[in-house]
Amino acid sequence: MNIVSEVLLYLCFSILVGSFLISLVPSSFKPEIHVQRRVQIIATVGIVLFSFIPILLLVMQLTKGDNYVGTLQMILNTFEIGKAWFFTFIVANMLFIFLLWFDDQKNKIYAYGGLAFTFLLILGLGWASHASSVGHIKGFIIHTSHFIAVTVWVGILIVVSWFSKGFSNWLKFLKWFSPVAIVCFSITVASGIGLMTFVMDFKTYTDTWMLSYGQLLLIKHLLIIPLIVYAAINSLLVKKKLIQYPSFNPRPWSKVESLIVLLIFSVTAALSNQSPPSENTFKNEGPSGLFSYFYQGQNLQVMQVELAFNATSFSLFVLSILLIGLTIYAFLKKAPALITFFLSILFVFSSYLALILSIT
Amino acid sequence: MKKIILVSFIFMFAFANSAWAHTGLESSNPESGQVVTEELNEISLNFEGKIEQSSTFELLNSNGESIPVENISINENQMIGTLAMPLVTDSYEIAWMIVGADGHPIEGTIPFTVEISSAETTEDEEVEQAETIAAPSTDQIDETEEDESSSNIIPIIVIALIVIIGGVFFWLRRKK
Repeated sequence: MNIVSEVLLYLCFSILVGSFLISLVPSSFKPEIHVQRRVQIIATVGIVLFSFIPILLLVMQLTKGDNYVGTLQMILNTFEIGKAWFFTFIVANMLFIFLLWFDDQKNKIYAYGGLAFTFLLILGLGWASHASSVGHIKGFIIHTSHFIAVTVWVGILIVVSWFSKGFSNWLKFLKWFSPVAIVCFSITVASGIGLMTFVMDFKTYTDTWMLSYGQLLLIKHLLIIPLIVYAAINSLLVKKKLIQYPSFNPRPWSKVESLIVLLIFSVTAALSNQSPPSENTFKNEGPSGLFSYFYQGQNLQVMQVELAFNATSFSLFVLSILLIGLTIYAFLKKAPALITFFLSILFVFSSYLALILSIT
Repeated sequence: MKKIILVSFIFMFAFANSAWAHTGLESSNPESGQVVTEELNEISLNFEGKIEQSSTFELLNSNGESIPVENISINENQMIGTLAMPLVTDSYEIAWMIVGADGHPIEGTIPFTVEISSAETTEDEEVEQAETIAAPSTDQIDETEEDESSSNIIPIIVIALIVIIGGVFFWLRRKK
């Protein structure tokens, strides 16, 4: 429940950011697109509801007897996540009223106002997860830039691939979106490395595979490979194809790219519910179930992982590369884009196995 | 194109999670496994970050009976409870349950021993100490029985992948 609500929360933020940003782009630089006010209002309400789920679960867990209201009041008044949610609630209400009462959706002030409120909501979300820890201001800033970079890039991607009518001006759209995506991606990578240094040492990256946290982080990183492949297809190859055949429809391919993003969101949501890696986590929780299922060694007492190729893992690596090659081949052969989505999932599966089975 | 290759090189370390370090235990008095020989009137737990109201702990003796702890106070990342009366010689366990400021509930235990020396023989002490040292490693994990099943499954997976890749490839080749 926590994971589903968190994915939907990311989605709501992306749709809001993407829809406000795209409305600021002159119409000759984007496909015909109209995000209904209704969608933006639903996303706003969604932010309030989905960010409340963790609090609801906490109320269930902490309440002794049946004093649910008392527990809820305590959380809202004294807990950091309670205070942060209350802030989110107030700002979301202001955004809700703004969306409802601002008449002219084409007016630039509508988009700028919406973006300002959404920015405040993102700050609230970041505060909820960083209020506590050591060096929290630094963590808060890095996390917030990570989140903003993702929502700008993914938001535009989702809005353009799912809410556009037709694919006119697609080449002109790519001209500005590709650089924007590369900048956002770089910021995401840099801030991602920054966030990782808070929870682990890079030298222990493979060691953390023994824990659920490391398993999920590995799967997330593997998912980024197909994402980059789709990004390359959607910027470079689609451009070539469109110049050659103006009737080529690029939307299914950007839709599949956004589906991969959705998978990455899901893994991220699952990650944020795991204890970060440490010897203590290993002692308390033991190795992850998935890890112990595939790992064939005997020594599960220490948190230490060394890699070495063997025949099985090598062949799985080759198969993984073939799966990526096949995705590009499928594009060139004009196969349905959705098939390559399954190829990507198989890629993550086989490259995951290749790495896990390389453990000595 | 170059940019994309460059970017794909750094991907491995990218996209860290958005989760924050959960608030773990930093230190405590008494510590885990400690043998307390002086009178103990107060138990204090220090955490890595702020802990929320409703965080609490319980003190259990070797029979699992709860020892009353008076007014547990929470201040930022510290939780302190005073004992109604000093502890007698026995092995104890502090069971703590906290909610970190990120909203994640966490719990844990701290085993320790109290030895107020009056008429204890040295033999008893040694036995007790040995017990405390052995205590933390009781929950070792045994997963070896699953090895068999997974080693059979891998070749099947590899063959299935080869079949799928081959199938898709020939299907694509037939397309114009």
